[in-house]
Amino acid sequence: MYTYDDYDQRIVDERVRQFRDQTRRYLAGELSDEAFRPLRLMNGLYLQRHAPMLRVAIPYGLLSARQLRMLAHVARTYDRGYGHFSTRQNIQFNWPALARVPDILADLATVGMHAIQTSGNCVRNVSSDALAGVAPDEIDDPRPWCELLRQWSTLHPEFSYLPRKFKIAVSGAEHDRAATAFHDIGLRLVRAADGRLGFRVLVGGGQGRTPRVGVVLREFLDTRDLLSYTESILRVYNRFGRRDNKYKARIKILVGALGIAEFARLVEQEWNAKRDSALALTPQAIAAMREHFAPPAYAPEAAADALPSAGPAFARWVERNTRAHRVAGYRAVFVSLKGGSRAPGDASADEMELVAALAERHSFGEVRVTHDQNLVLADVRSGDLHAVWQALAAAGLATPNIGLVTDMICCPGLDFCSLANAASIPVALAIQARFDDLDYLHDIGELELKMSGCMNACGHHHVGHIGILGVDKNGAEFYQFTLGGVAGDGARLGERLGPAVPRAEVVETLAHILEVYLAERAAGERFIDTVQRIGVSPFKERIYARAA
Amino acid sequence: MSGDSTMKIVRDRHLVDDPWQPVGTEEPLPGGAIIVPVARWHEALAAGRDEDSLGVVLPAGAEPSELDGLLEALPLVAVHFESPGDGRGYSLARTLRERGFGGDLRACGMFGRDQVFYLARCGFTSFAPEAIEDLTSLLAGFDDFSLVYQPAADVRDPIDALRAARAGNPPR
Repeated sequence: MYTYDDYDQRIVDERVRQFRDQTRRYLAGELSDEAFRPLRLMNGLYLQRHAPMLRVAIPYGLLSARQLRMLAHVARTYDRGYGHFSTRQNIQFNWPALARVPDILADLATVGMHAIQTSGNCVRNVSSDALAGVAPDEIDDPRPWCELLRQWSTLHPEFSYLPRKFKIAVSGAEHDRAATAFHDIGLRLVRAADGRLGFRVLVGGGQGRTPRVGVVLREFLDTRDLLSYTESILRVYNRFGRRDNKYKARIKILVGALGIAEFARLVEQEWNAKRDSALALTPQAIAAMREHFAPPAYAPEAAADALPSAGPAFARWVERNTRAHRVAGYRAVFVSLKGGSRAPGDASADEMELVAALAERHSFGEVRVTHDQNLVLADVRSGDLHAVWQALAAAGLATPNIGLVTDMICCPGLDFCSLANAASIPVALAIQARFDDLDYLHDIGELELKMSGCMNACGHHHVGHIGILGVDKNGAEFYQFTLGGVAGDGARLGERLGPAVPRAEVVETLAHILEVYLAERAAGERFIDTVQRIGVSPFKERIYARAA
Repeated sequence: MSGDSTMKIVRDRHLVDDPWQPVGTEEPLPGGAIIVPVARWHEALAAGRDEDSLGVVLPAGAEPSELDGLLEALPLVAVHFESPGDGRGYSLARTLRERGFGGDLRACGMFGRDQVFYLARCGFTSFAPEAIEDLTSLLAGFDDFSLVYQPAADVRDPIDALRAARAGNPPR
């Protein structure tokens, strides 16, 4: 993975010094709330319902074991002993004291971590595929490109005061596991007919209150032009994006207003002047960045590893929570942060340390955060799987539910977030409690359930196979269901099922939806396939018939 | 404030007296070096003003093309920020530099010490913030970071260039 050199380290150290001074001036009354707000946000610090929330960047979801241990230390020392992994592959701490945030950042800086641009109207953490570098369907490793984008966007002088936040995702595989169609810029690595490597560039995707599927801005962009082209898009957005209404300020609104053809014309005009500037990537720069992500020293003899036969529970976990690896004899292991009484995506300091230790022992010292809020040990030898399973199972981290109903994405909701209209974590816990029968879960099969506590859609409800949106109706919590959303290949928005249901009926409504699926599915059909074949009407009839 | 009526600004990272006087859209044109709205530039020239003592001011959201044909002649372009968060002024400044403007590029209006590092990198050379009494506090902001990751309108070598140089000329 990319490790900081002295230059990177100096920038992070200087950022800590700068923020310490900004915090000091704020607490001394030299900076107003209004002046401090954008400064703290650009450092990931929100003032929330109970306490500040600090979001720490995990660039494209990649962590060293040492960094994960540091996150455990922060959770234990400055918070209440746990952290929350987010859908953008970052981690959030919900209980730090404002005055101690500079100390947290100083601790994080010792392992090359920070909170730079994890919030605010700037370019955010670039997200990517949690199976980058190991997935068998990979065209090219997205991580070197993510890191080039990270460095280019860090403290960018022109783009630190954009109309609104800006999110970039990169996918390097045949299958899009990074939801590229739902980002301000989505980059898909592709090969041209002549074999050249480049990007298909999508723009204007996003969720929130105006969900949009991204549209193709350029079918093929040579990799050398990644930064100059991205900078051209950002300049057009920075100049012309709306600033009068924060709900209409994202690039998707600008692209919609101008039309993709006119937007593309403006970008090309900027780019013509820029493409041969110092932003053009040299083959040497690309090669040097690739070296940081060179494959680890896989053991050739691993190919002969036999998968131990150790009973049905282990077999079920292997089937559900591990994925194929491009190197024979290795698997990628998902650490489930879902199920039981755990708030989705939460991990305690002890659990983080356990996963860090397993990474050191069995996965070349690296851990990934997935965009559906689990962790991954990407390089585990088949012969080690049983030991890893035993350690995870003993800690409650081996629920075999990856990709199933209870592996749901969920935002912090009303319990923590000052924007939320409704609870999401307690509802998620009720769903987990109701659907804890593994045989039933496995029978239902692959299903992406995503829940947000308000229309800002941090829980990605628009793109859930089943989406649940919490809304406030005259002070009461109601939940709006959508069906048929898809985040990756064949990206589309879910369709509204009908009127929102009260909180007490959410679990039953979900159960009814699953009943309809079980009754209607054809052989081998996943939930999403059935919804696409029969539409939402049969589900609607089942849910709302009794009210009619 | 001192009894000195001359306005101070920061220019090229120093506190200096400001020889320039801003003039609104309606007021009569005073003597000396003046900064006028773009629309009055031709009027001022017609009134016999010397190009060298005529600057213009633009709002942060202005089209850079408003200065087409003038960039060679102008000694100073001022960009007015309604709020520190109006990022359009940053793109405007870089665009003017990319189009060859070589005069003094001035940031005026609402911004503070937490913005000057970025503003300077976008090509601003002088700074006349509206709401700051102690301009020396602004000076520290220029040194917030000693390294940069990306090329911009300043002359600093970005980190990737430093790395390439180091790789080509290994130390020791």
